[in-house]
Amino acid sequence: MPAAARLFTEHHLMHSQPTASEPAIEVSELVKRYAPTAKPAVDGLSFHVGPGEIYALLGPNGSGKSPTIGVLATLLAPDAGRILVAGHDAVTEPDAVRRRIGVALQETGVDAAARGHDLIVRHARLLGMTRAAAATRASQLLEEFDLAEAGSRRLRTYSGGMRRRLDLALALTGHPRVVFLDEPTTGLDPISRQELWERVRRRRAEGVAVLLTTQYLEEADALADRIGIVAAGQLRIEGTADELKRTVGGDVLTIEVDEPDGARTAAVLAAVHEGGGRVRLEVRDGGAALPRVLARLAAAGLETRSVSLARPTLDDVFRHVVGGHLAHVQASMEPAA
Amino acid sequence: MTAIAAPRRVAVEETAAAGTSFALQVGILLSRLLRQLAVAPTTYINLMISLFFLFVYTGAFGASQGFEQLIGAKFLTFILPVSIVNASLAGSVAGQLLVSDLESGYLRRLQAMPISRLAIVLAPMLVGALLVVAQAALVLGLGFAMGVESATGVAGVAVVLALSLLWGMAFAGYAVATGLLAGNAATAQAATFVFFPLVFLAPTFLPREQLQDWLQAAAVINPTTYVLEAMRSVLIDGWQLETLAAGFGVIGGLCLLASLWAARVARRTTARR
Ligand SMILES: Nc1ncnc2c1ncn2[C@@H]1O[C@H](COP(=O)(O)OP(=O)(O)O)[C@@H](O)[C@H]1O
Ligand SMILES: [Mg+2]
Repeated sequence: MPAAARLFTEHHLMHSQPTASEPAIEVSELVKRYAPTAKPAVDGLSFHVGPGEIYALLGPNGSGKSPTIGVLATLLAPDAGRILVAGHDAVTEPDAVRRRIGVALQETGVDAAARGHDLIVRHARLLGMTRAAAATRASQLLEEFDLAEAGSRRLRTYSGGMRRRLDLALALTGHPRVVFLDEPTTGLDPISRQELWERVRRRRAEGVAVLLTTQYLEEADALADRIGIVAAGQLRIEGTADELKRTVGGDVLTIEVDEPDGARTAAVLAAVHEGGGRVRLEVRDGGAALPRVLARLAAAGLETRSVSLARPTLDDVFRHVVGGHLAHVQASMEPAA
Repeated sequence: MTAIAAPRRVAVEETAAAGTSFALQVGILLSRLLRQLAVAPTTYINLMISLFFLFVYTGAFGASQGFEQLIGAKFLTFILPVSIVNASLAGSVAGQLLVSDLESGYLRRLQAMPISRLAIVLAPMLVGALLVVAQAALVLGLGFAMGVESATGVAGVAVVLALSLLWGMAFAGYAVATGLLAGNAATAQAATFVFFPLVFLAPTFLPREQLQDWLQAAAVINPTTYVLEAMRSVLIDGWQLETLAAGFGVIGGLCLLASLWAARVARRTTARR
């Protein structure tokens, strides 16, 4: 190899960045506690996200999602664990990490008196773009996020959805390799939510690694390539939506009976009583189980009003691993988009 | 490692933001804050109060020869340092600006960027200093236009400005520290009301010897006393080294202490915890 070529190669080896095979985010045994005596907010979390992958941390309020994002985005110091973001250690090389990430925190941090366009321009300039490049980038992003007209207005005139979009635009200003989105769609209406999902998917197509947190099952299901369910600061289960659903096993039968209190039905079927005349039963094969269930109810003298059969949802997974409920997007209220 | 792989790594490396120099970071943050100040009413309210001292008190006492005999100077010249000291309170915007960014969450956004933590705190401090000098200079200019004379000429004017800057930055440091400790604008605002005893428990309207005993005692421990006396000495009496040394010593020391306190609190606020 000629000397010049070797120098070139070595130089770039020293600054070696994750290639497609290396994870963009690698977290192992992350612990974060806010007070020495307090229960850790994040308690030994490990996961990784690859380039061009959308990973969702799914969990209820207080499960430690935001503290995790805080540590990865170099805003909080971990108490233990190793965190690599875009190939750099978040603890020892925070600035190297900051050059490669985009962050949209749960609470949008912007001064209400600023104008959208100015805010992006300033952000871009702080990241090192020239005045002209920053202005171009701002126009580009405002256009993509349907804020072209609002760009010249002060942020106090923006709706919640507009602020969220601006927040995402700011996170993407510097063409980051890794993007952190902490509950990006909380409080958004169904259409805005889907539009935001679409914009996040576009980044995946560009090879960006996206780590988002959500308390919406549908969001994780629709958007994420992989999902990690967290509770009390711990990762309870991880996988693609289908993998997770398969862990629950079978299908779900929901049976309504003509019994004011469904307790007897539940007992007869050894099923979960959901209150009122509703009973919930998990079976391996819903189609095969149905006739037997009906037969047994008839034998017990219980009249069946309706039966519905459903494949497992992430909620079922969640119920299994955590024993609680998560928020649902009210998809039924959604107008046809 | 093959030669072919290198260019691909280069392409990935290029997607990292370059970041900017420390000076440019401060500049960008500074220009944002100046724009905020330009439309903030508090900027102008403080200036109004300073001018109030100059015009209204001069209107009230300036025509009384008996009063001027009592203080041994032209009343306008005597009251000008009070107006300047009040104008220097404008340094507290440094604290207000930081706290409002803390409250809005903009500070956190900056902290996730490749920016020096020092630049984040330095920018509002510089804005405070700029505002102090601008307002003090404006009041001083108005005073001279109204007939103030400096016994020590232009050098004396420079001394007055230097004292006002130190006083202003001491107050700025205090405002930054208390504001960040409080973490909310309302408490930060309340903390700046310390200006009231600072400005009024001092030889504000009469020389120290003419004050009642209790007020004299209070004035002795009030740093503003030494700043006012130092400013008056160069404007009215000429070079009095002892008075100047007391003025610069007290306010210089206070400014240093306040700055150290501010730096300490700011460091803790912007550090990862
Ligand atoms: N600034 C803080 N100080 C102390 N405790 C905190 C702080 N932020 C979060 N926590 C605690 O950490 C835990 C998880 O954080 P939280 O932000 O509520 O998680 P999530 O983002 O999943 O809703 C909670 O028990 C919360 O009380
Ligand atoms: Mg949260």
